[in-house]
Amino acid sequence: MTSSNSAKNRDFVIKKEHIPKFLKGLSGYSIYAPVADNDLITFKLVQKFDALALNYSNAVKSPKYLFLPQTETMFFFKKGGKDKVEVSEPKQEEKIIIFGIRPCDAAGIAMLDTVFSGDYDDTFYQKRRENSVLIGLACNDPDKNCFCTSTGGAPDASDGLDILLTDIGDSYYVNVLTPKGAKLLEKSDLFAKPSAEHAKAADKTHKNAHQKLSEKIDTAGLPEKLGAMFEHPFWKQVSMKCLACGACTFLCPTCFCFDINDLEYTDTATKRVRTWDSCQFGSYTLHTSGHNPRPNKENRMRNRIMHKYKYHYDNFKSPGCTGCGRCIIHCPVNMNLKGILKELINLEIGQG
Amino acid sequence: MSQFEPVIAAFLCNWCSYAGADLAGTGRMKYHPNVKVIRVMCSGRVNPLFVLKAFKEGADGVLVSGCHPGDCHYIKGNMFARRRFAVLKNLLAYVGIEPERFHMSWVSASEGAKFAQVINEVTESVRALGPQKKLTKVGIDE
Amino acid sequence: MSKTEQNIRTKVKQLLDEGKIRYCIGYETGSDSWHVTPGFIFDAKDAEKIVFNPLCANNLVGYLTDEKKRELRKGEKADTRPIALLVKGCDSKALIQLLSENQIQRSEVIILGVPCNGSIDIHRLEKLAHEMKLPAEAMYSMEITRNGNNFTGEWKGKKYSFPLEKTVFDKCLCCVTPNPLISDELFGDKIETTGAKNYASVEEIEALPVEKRWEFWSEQFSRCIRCSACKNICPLCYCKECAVDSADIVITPQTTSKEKTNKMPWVEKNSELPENIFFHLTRMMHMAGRCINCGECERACPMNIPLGLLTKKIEKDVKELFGHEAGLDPEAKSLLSIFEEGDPGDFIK
Repeated sequence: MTSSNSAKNRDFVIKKEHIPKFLKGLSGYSIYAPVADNDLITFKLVQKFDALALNYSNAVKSPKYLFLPQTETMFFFKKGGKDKVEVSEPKQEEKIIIFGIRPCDAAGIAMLDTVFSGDYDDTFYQKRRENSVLIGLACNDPDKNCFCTSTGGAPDASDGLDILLTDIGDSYYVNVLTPKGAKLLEKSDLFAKPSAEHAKAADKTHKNAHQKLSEKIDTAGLPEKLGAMFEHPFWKQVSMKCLACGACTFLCPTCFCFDINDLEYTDTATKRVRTWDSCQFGSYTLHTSGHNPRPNKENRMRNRIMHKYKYHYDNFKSPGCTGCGRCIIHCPVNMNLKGILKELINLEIGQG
Repeated sequence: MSQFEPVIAAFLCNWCSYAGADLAGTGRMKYHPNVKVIRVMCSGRVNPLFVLKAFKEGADGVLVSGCHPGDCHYIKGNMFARRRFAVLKNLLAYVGIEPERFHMSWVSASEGAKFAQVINEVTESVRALGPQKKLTKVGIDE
Repeated sequence: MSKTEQNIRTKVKQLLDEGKIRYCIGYETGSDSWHVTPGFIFDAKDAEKIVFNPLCANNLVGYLTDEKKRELRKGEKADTRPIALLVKGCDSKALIQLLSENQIQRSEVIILGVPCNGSIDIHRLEKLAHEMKLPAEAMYSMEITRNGNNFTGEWKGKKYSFPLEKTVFDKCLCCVTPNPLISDELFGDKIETTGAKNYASVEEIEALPVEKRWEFWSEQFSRCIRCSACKNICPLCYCKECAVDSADIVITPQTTSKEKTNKMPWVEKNSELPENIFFHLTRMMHMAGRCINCGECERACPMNIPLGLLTKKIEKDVKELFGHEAGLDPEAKSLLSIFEEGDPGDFIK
């Protein structure tokens, strides 16, 4: 929501054509922005800012990989002198700016923040997060598969963001949300005070986006309902066409499961590596005894949906999903999470 | 001036090629010391995964050597190997791994001289290509 | 609704009414008019949901081996009735390959064959629609039908035409098997084969110098996030213990702890370039002589890696080297478990 009325001194406006100059002026930061690559949009490290794909609906991979990389070396250890083990950690000092991240992805990162600093402080994640600034871009034209407003989000939400930009034609309306964000603007002369027209235009962009998302799915009663249908045949029926391929979990902005393995790279030196894992893989819950508590696709599908819409909710009081729609867009068999949620809401579990 | 000494992983079948290598040794034949021998019972035992794993561990070149067609101790193991590695060789070259990094040969137990010659040829062709980095596993974050 | 669809629905309804099948695997309308989704029909009344149209690209054969891997729930009795499924020409080759590898028995499946003259690649259709500046409301809502060498649709009185060669999959443009090679019943008229196998895209890469090939493939494989969508959608990837999955192991009461600790992790989960290449090369070696080029792996890949360039290379090589073609004969022996005296050996010193 625009804070245009309450905090005018934290609002600015910048012409779109000045963005490359602004970004060039941010020295000491690695800037990640959406670019077109092989017919898809991804967040990449950019040094030239003239060809950013900012009219995109959303990137294939969510930018969570900048905080939770697909492959991350936690530390190295090798044989030192006699009976000694030398341990060293890779340096993690890169300061990054993510430019043009969508509010659903930023909300996903905010969600990961709570997970990685909950019961346990995940220093790998936290260090990367501390060294980052997120400049978000509110959505003009949500994709038909988007449903952020059904999961507590919005096309102009500010969760997880340091700055929020809103497209108002030839300029962006700028909401500065945190001191980190304010610092970026300090040395730049490209930002002007917004006029009432600018604020109105920003509000209009937000309203239009909201209108496109007007079909809300009311997920309020789901946590309780899901808790009562663990053995329901619905799970088998809904998972029959699923391939358990894992693409949804890897692209999802709020999925965070990982595996840790030691990989030798010489006879005497090894690195401990964290990699993405997926609850959809068969071996995810395989025990050494050979027993697998989730042997079938229906168990794994049930787990995925219950994690997002019950377990996460029970732990953190908000759904574990930001409604970005990637799982629907990229699923090879057109699994439709929106459809599944609607089915769940209408399902009469008494007859199960 | 020291030149690049490639590491060649050689999978030699026990009955023919390994024996041929032995003969080269007892005959005091000189050949490049770059080869690391892995003895297998038959060239048909060599899984393409072994070749890829050797490259992953940093081998600059890989050789698979077995009995001549018709002479396999297990009758036809080398025939399966021939098919399998024809496919792998083409596939490796297709994705951009220099074809001179992967070699296959038939060396019998009496061909000590041939073994030495094969090793020398393979070593020189791999030496010309330089160290193999494309399939080698990543060590310290590079 | 076309006559073909009506006939399929009638047949499936009959099979279910007579209790002859466990269920039928077909296609249903998906999340919008430009998507279809695999449909599992258990009740006769749901047979009405089955559709068949140019959007039906999915290869449904993989679900047969999926079903075999499923563990029965407590108290669940095994259902041994056959499964009915819709197959197009390309799909039928996957079915034949599974039969030749003894992964399914002929009696376990009722094959409802549907001749197909081209499936729409939704990514290509979207791209074309953007280029043609199709109105946003029309995208995903407009009904598309086949009209000669085009797909046509109408929106708010305006007609739109999408040329075939810009909307269908590459595999469809060189399809030599539009009619299922095996079926219990055929729905729809047989289609005359007009395509011819075309390996131009593979030859283009083969013709490049080795370093340019490396440049191309290293860039493609760097994008791989190791989601395994390609492996999981492949109808011929059915191994319970997969060689390229380091955590996969089939554990029985006889498995010793030594076997478990010594299980060789050929390919780990990290998405570093050498590991990614290892994954894809191993998968291709396992597909040699088995892959029928249904194109599902390339369709499933979320990162748009051109896996078809690898599968077509394998197909071309096994044909040229050994005269072998996958998916044609249910009695055929698998490529790498046989050999010929005259197999090529020029590359061997």
